[in-house]
Order: sequence, then C-alpha cells, then structure tokens
Amino acid sequence: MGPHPARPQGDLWILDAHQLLVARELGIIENLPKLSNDELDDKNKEDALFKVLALGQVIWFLVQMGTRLSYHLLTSQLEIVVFSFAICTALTYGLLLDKPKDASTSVIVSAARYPTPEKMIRIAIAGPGTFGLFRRSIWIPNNAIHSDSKRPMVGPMAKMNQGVVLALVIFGAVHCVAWDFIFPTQVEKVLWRVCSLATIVVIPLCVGINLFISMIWTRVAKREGFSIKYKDTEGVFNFTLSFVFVVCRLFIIVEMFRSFVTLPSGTFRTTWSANLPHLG
Amino acid sequence: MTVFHSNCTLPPDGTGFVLSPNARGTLDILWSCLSILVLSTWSILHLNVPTQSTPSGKTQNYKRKAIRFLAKLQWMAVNVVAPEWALGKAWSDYRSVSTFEEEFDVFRKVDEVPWSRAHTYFANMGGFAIRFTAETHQAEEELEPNASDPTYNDTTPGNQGTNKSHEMSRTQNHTTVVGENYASKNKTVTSADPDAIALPTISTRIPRMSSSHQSCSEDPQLRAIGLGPTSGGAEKLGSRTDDGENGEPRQQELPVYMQAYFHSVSQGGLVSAESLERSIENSSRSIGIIDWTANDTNIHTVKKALEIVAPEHFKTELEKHRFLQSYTSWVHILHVLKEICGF
Repeated sequence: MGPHPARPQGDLWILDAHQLLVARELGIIENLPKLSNDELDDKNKEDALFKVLALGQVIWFLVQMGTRLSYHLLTSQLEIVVFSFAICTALTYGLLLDKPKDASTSVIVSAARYPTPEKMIRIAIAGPGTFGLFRRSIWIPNNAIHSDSKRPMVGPMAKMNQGVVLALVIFGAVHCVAWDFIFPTQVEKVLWRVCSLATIVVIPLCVGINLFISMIWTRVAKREGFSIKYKDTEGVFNFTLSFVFVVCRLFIIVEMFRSFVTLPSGTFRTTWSANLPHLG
Repeated sequence: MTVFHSNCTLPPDGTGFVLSPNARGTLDILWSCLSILVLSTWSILHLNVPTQSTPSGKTQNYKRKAIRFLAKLQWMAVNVVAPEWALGKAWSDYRSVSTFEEEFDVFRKVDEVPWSRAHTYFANMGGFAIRFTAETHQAEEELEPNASDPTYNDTTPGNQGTNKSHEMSRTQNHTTVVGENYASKNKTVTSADPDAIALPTISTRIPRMSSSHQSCSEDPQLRAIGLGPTSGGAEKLGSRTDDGENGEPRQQELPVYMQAYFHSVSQGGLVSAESLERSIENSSRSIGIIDWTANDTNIHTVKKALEIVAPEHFKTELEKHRFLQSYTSWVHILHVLKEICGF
C-alpha cells in the first residue's frame, strides 16, 4: 500500500461543505482550508456594472408591466411569460447574493492522513446527491444537491422541492394573466389555459405523491427494520408527468412567439415607463 | 402578413424636450423581452468550479474555453425550459449553507482561519480540493480522541459521544481484517441482479449475517431464499454464524438487496465508474492533462469500505437514513473518492 512512488502527486478529492466538515472532524485534514476573504472575492467574477445593468433592466421591465396592467393596457403573451421569469430571477438573485460567480480554480489543500474504510464510508454519505444523472466527474457537477437539513426524516430533495414549487406557482399564476388574451386560434387559447394550469399543478403533484410514498415507506420500513427495498418512485409515473410538463413548457415557449402575429392594436400603446432608462 | 408603418408627427423646431412616442413596434417588444430572458437565464448562472486541466498548446486551450462556454449555454437552455430549477437550486444552496453555519463557526475559531458564508458556498461549488501526497500519513489504526478538537456537535438524536466512537473504531478495525479475508476467499462468487434476489425476502427482517456466511461460494440467489422466513433457512444461517468469528458483532445488518448490490459493485459491476474513467481519459485528451492520478491506498480503502459497509458505521440518524434511501448515490460518490484510472 502507500502512495505510488512513481506518482508523487497522489490523488485529489473535491469535497463539498458537509464532506469538508466530516473530513475535518475525522482528521483527514488538520485545519479547515485557509482562504482569505479577499482571495475569495478575487475568485468571484461578478461584475458590478453588469449586475447594475441587469438589475436595472429587470426593474424597468417590472415597472413597465406594472403600469400596463394597472392602466388595463393590453400586453403580449411574450411579455407575460417574461414577466414571470423576471419575478423568479429577482428572487434567485436575492438568494445567491453571497455565492461566488464563475470561480474557475480550486484551492488545493494537503491531506494530513489517509482515511480508514470507516471514515471513507462517512465522508461519502455526506456528499452531494445528484438530480438526474449520477455523479460522473471528479469535480462537483452542476446538478449536485447538497445536504441542506440536519433532520433525518427530511429527504435530500426537500429544499429543492420547496423552491421548485414556489417558482412554479409564481410562473403558472402569472401565465394565467393571459387567460382571456387574443390568440391566433381558439384551440391555442384553450391549450394556453391548460398548459398554464399544468405548469402550476404537475410538478407539485409529483412531489406530493413522492413525499407521500416515501413517508409510507419510512413508516413500514422502520417496523420491518429497513429490509424492504426502497423503490425510488422516480419511475414511469414521474417520467410521464415530467414529459407532460416539458411538453406544456415547450408549447408555451412556441405560443408566446406565435401569438406575436395577431397582437391587438392596444398592445402597441406605451406608458410613461418608456421614458425610463432601459436597454432595447 | 400586413405591415404597419407608424409615422409620428415631429415636434416644431426649438422644442425643449420631446417625450418618447406613445407607440411601440413589434420588435421593440421582442428585444426588450429577449434582453430580460437572456439576463434571467444567463446572468443568474452560478456554475460550479469546472474540471481543472493543464492545456498544452492553443488548440487544447480553445477547446477548453469552448467546452466551458457550452456548459453555460446548456444550463441556460435548462433555465429557459425549466426556470424553476434555478430558484429551487438557489434555495437549496442557500439552506445548505445555513445548515452548516454553526459547525463551521466552531472549526473557524479553533483552526483560526477566515470562514464566511461565501466560503461554504465555495466549498459546495467544488472550490476546495484535498490532495494526497507522499507526505500524507497512513490511516490511523485507532481513532484517538484529540483533546484539541472540538466535538462535532450534531443536533440529531442518536449521535454517539467520543468515547463511543473510540470503542466503535476498535470493533471496526476488527471487521476490516475480516473484510480482507473475505475478499481473498470470495473471488468466484457470481454477481447477480440485486432486484432479482430482493424479491423473495421482502417483508422479512434479515438477521445478522456473519461474513463467514457471506463468504460461502453459494449462489447469491439461493442464499437469499435461504434467508427467507422459513425456519430451516434461519437455522442454517445460525449454524454458519457459530463456526465463524466466535460471535463477534458483525456489520451485515443490511437487507439482502443492498448486500447484493454492494457485492456486485465491489466485483467491478459499476458501469458509471468505468464511464468516469473513460470521460477523464477523453477530456484529458481534449482539454489537457487532468492532474488526478492513481492512488493505491485510496483504491484499497474504497474496496474495503464497500465490503464492510453497514448501518452501524453511520453515526447519526441523518446519515443512516440517507444511506438506506440513497445507497446507490453513496456508491457513486465513493467511487469519486477512490481513483480508478491511471494514464
């Protein structure tokens, strides 16, 4: 055993925050990695000007939509969809204020000692789960979901689900503003309504049913000493609902551009917000 | 399609200030909307640290740039079709950082290092890498509780104290040795589909199963049936346990479907481990050498970990729960800790 003499570099572990804590606790590393706040700031590629411009544009759009809706001026379907994006973006921006953007190098720390198999087992269980594909890279993939709760009964996806459900309710509700808009054909109008409702309902339904099943499983399995196989409910059922959801989303994306050719004349009126500074 | 040319009246010469026209064109709507759409799907991307490499020459450098750009484009497309992903992920990340704030605060003071929320975010992005070098000490035989170390305070019930974990590590060391025996004896067992053999044992609590029993070169499928509720099977199991390691506590409290899964994985049945190896090789060809090399010690440790894994290794309820729910994910993370390929 021991590190291979011909390969003095040894190997590399990319640990997430929870794993780093466990590694520190178990003595794999002697100290938490030292990285000054300034050095970390330097890794952050966030550009203040760009952020101000982006935020300004989003705020301008929100003001513009607000005035249009309050004056009962007609709007295009595209604007309605983009309006829902803008609301979610504003919320996301708020949540990500502390997160460094586009850091492209890792800080490398030397390990103090090799782990025993028992330690390895615990470090691995602290690691991030993935949404969709399993982890296949050494670096942390972008679909990683980190541990976000210390309560054992809360599933690893709980917080993710909360955010998703909130976003979808905002999204679908805003889409419903276009309930009585003018569409190229009557069929499209009905489809728009169906898809808007599906946006709200489908994924929360999926999440709800999965939670219910896993709750039942936990209860039964606790009694049976976990000898029953936990069937991930991400089976045919989830696939079908996700498929329905994606089709609905795609329809709305196509329809928001298609309805552009039949905009009523009121849509082309502007409000005082046209005088505010904005791009495009 | 009819096209309308709007024609506003111009103000007379000498007008001090002209307000914007009270009409807009189709394209005005389009551009303002597209700018928002791009901003909300591109600029909110906070992607993780990408794979590090050392490109040799211009081609590899440009390729790497292109790959990183395409990754951003790909996640932008995800945001267009499923914008709720961005908010869900942001909320999950936010909560994740808050969850460990207390623990990091304890270690920050002890280790005297700067640590902020941004640091935790950076860790979750893959910003901290641990490198095993020639100077790295061997694994400790026994975990000595270090007086200078703050106890990692887990608020979950079922957390064991330091003394207990000291005791546990001793028993674990014993099982390590057993695991080694098992590995050498048990080379001929065929790996089976875990689903197939999980079926006959549903709703039975699997009794403690000694490693000596597991090392018998019986067909796993038959073994699984033998573990069923019938008394004959149980007696058979009992007799096997006795001629084993003198009734030492064993780690096999796992359901049979999990044991079978781990068994097949430790025999090299994990497809994605191979694809990890392949993808590393491929990307080192296109974007330059990835500084990640074979480490025999860790390979060995992972193999052992797969052999001895049991619920009792997990010190908190949280860890236990997570293991039982997503053991396949655990195996994948474990395989990243190991180093599978060498080029």
